[in-house]
Amino acid sequence: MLAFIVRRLLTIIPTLFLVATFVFVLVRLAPGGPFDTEREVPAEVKAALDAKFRLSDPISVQYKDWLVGAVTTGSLGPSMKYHNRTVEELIGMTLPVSMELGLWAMLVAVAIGAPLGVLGAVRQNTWKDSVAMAAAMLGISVPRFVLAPLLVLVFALKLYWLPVARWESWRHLVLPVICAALPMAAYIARLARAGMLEVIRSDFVRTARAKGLSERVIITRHALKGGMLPVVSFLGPGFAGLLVGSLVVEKIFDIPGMGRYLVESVLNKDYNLTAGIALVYGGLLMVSNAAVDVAYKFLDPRVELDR
Amino acid sequence: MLTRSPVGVKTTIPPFPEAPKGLESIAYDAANEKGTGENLQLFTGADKQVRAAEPGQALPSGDYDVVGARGAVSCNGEKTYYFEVVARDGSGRRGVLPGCMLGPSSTPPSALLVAKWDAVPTFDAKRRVDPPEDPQALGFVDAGALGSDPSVVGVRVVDERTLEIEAEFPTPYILDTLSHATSYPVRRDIIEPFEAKGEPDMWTRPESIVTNGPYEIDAWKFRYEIRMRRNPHHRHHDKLKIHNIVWMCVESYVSSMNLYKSGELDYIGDNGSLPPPYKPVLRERKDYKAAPYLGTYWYEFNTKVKPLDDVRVRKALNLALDKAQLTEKVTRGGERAATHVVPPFMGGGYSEHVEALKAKDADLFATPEYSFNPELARELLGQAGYKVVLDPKDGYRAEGMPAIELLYNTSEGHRALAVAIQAMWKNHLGVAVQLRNEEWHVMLKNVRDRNFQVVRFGWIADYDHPQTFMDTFMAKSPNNRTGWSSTAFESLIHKARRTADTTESMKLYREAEKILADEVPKLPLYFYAKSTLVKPHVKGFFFNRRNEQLVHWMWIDEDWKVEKPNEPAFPPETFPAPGAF
Repeated sequence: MLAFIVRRLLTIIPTLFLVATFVFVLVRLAPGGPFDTEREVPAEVKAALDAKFRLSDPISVQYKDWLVGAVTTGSLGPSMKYHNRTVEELIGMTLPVSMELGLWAMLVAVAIGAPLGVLGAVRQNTWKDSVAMAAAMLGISVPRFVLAPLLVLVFALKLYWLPVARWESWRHLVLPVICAALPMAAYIARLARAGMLEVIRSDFVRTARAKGLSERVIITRHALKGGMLPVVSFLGPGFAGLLVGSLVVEKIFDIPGMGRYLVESVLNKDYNLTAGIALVYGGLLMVSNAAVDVAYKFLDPRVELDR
Repeated sequence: MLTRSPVGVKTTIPPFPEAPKGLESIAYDAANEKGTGENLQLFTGADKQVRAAEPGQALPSGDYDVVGARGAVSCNGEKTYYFEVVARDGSGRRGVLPGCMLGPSSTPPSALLVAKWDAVPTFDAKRRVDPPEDPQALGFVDAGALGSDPSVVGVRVVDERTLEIEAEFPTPYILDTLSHATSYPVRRDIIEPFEAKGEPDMWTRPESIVTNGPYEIDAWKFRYEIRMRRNPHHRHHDKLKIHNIVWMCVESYVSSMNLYKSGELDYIGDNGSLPPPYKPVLRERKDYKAAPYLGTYWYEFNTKVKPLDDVRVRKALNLALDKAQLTEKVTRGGERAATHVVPPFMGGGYSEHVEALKAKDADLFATPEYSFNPELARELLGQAGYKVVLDPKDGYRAEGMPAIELLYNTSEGHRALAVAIQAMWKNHLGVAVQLRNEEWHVMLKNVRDRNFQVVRFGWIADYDHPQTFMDTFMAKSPNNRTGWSSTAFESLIHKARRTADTTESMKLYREAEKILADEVPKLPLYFYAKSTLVKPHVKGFFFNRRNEQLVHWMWIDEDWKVEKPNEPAFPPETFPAPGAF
């Protein structure tokens, strides 16, 4: 088990290395540079800026220095847009905010989605199932940039229950978390329903029924674990998607998270920041996928990790 | 600040024999009653309201000489320094323009960023036999020349309170350029340690930065909010009615609108205008404010490529645009259609000149020759070899005219305008236009490589004088991307900027503008306007063509429902009145 975890984490390193290399080179190949302005900068100034940010060296040298710096000191270099901030500082400020939003949203999504899905599966083809799945369909179809203004309009601007935006108290959390969670909850509901349906029709459940176990015990003790497998495997990429997708939620609710830098750093040609963010997102995705693999072991006894 | 000029006009009016009346609030430097000033015309025309130390003692408008200049640029510390000004018309009118200082009086001279007088090689006017024919625009010294001889700048500290700036010609907008953010004073003792460490940008971080405005940074959450409190060292700190400011950094317009609506914001901010789709609704509201803004939105032609190298083609493209419709239907924020490049509400005597012309019905740029005129446009295009024929089915078609590519940086507003213009060129001239949008940095690269035909740009005035726009048309200007240059235009500008008489000078500027309107290197579309929302309880908010709102004039009116005049928080003392920006 432990060996698996260690091995799984070790495979992240070469993948991250590849991600870093690709991003590092690709952003530099795109036309335009970080210090372009509409006014032509004098050659001396341009040279000084390039020297300061090591852009005058060949890409291979820049890459080597950056990599050595990142590995030995954890320094991802200065931001090329915000000259008085380093990349690790920008990420350090914004990543916890995005993580907080993402984790809460995932928790809420599971808390809403999983019971709905189970309900749908257990009461298959009843009105409860139809309502649950219709709600799920709606949740998947309504994009967040539609949902968010609606939530704000109703709960903030009409009812005055919650603040419209910003990131201050727990009350500021409610709307963005719901907004980020609902589409994911809908997806989880559908996955949970499908997973449960499959398990409910399997032999061991039939056996349990034949033994005369109560329906409640069958569902909670026997079926639920297996039925949740598709949901669990979705949680890894789902969480990463939540972080990346939080761009919209963060923008509408004006949350100082990392989402804004995802697109912005590329547009600003902030090479260091782009590479840093790619690393963080890449790392998060891989770690959460590894966590899912480990979770599988606990949910499905057939899974053998050490093979 | 003291300016000296080889071509400055001498005055014979003696300075004050004694402290003038109304000076109780600022100490008169009796030890230096003659002042150290040379004579340079600093204020011209009625546009600049020169304020006295006491409210109600504003100087009458007119031409003034600075005869004693003993102040500096920023505002912090004591009230010891001021400009003495004397009317140039021989009437003997005189007054005081209070100056402000570089730092608190305890600041040692070494704290000034500019080196002391004797530390800098002195600019020797005699050594330079002729003033250069083509002096650089103020503030933009050729970097190469600066490296070999720092004295070319002609800026030095005379003593710990006086900054001397040498100008090569009368520069009526010199004070104005000093109100631009790039010339705000900074603390040398704060910056140099960071430079020594090789981190010259790091002094601007919240834990290190020292500012000299009426408010100082309290807390700075990067790209989230900046909290400010009163600066205890500022001379007005006990007069400020607003004690704390929270500047929210809000990314999207939707959220700032919501925050405003829910009462968390008192003011939507001045960073950009309200989005056009909101404007028709918001325009009806009482808290909607809009004012002209010193800027011109234009399209620049690459005059080195066919068919745009032909002036008749450029002119035809210009005349075929119904710009009034663009501002009414597309931008919708109170912008004004532009037939020339300098906004008619420009200071430096320009707006008065335009008003006078309009009164005489002699505004050249309002004539059909320069306004929307599709017939003339088609005729010009025909003369250029692209005959415009009317096809009963397809409308106009310019025969043989290649499609034109219009480049703009990706943005909803630019796109809407480009689409409208594409339609106008098609409908009135039969010219096909392809739109190309690129993300900002990519566009800049392509423009630098001259890989464009028509590109969207604009210019926001750096100072309140037509020169700021004219500079961008000079052959050597880094802001001239068109490849166009004209010796006639440049000699007119050289003459205009050296002419001390405002009316004469403005006449020359208008002549130069006529050359631009005739040759159309850039196609002006509209003069900017700024719009925003301000809660009615915010008083002391003065909209101006600079779009600069100073919080220290503002105050919160508890019973705002009772209509009251909009007054600053305390009587204006050391700045020109807010309305006079």
